[in-house]
Amino acid sequence: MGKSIVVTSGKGGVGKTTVTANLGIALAWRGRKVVLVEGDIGLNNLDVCMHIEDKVLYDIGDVVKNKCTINQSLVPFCDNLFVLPATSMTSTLVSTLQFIEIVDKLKDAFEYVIIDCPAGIEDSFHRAIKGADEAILVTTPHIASIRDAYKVSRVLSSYRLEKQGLIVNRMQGANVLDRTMLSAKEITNALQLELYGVIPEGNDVNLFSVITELKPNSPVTFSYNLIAEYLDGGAKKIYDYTAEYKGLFNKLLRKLRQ
Amino acid sequence: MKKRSENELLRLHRIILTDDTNIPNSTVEILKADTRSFFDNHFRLDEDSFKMNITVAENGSYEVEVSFRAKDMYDIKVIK
Repeated sequence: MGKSIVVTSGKGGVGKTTVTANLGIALAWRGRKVVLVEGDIGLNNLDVCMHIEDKVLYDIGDVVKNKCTINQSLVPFCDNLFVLPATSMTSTLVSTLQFIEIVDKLKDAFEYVIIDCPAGIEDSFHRAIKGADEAILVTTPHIASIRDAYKVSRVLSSYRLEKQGLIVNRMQGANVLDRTMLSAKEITNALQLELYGVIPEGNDVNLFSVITELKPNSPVTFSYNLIAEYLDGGAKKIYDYTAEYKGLFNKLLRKLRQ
Repeated sequence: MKKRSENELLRLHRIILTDDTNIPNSTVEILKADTRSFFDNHFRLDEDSFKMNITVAENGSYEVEVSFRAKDMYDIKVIK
C-alpha cells in the first residue's frame, strides 16, 4: 500500500502546487508510481501548472457523483505519473469522508499519493490534510510565510499528523551570504521541523514551471531530485544554494551589484 | 535600507512566541472545523449557517451548541 503526503503551507503563493507537481515528476522519474490529487477543489491550479487542463474529461466531483470511476478520472502526465483533477466550481461537492475514501483507494494502486493542499486553514484545508499520512510544509524565506507554516504545523500536530518535513522554496544564496535573507537552517530551527530540502530561486523558472520544462542541469531540477531521493528512502542531501556565490571573486561581484 | 537577517530572526521568534500563546483559540477553531466537516459528510450545508458555541459551565463541564441549516442530506454511496 502506498502512502499519502499532503503538501501544505498556510500562506498562498509560496509554491505548494509547483512543489507538488515537481516532487511527483521527480518520484516518477525514479520509477515510482505516483498520483497527484488536487486538494484545492474550486480554486484548482494543478491542472494549469502541469499543462493538462485540456485533457481533463472527468474530475473528483464526477467520481463522488458516480459519473465515472477513479481510474477514468485520472489524467496521465508522463510515465508513472497521473493527476486527479478537481475542475468543479463547488468545493462543497466533495465531503471529507469521500475525499479520504478516494485517497485510500488511490493508495492501493499507487506508491505515492501527493495531495496539493489549498492555502489557508479553512474547511477545504481540513479536508485535504485528513487524507494524508504525512505532510510536507512549504515556505519561502519570508517571515509571513514562515509564520503561517508554523501555525499550520501546529494544526497538523493537533490532528496527530506528526511526520512533517519542510521544504524552503525560492532561496537566494547571494542574499543569505549577505545576511539580508534568513538561511534555511535558521528557518528550520525556528519551525522545529525536519528539513527535507531547499529549492533555489531559479532564473529559468517562471510561474508554474515544472521541471520537465527546465534544463536537465538546472539547480531547481537537481534539488527536486535530491528531495525525491530522500522521500524514496535514499540518503538525505540538501542542495547547497550558496555554493555558486562563495569565494572572493563572487563576493566582489555581489558588492559591485549592490 | 536593507533588513539584516539577525533582526528578522529575532522578529520571527517574537511572532512565533506570541502565536503560541494564542493557541487555545486555534484549538476551538479546529474543533469547529472538525465538527463542521463531520456534518458536511452527511448534509449539503447551507453556506455560513454553521454555528458552534463552546462554553464552560460553573461545574467545569462543557456546553456545546451546534446549529446549521442543510439543503439536502447525502445518500451513503461507495466510491467506484
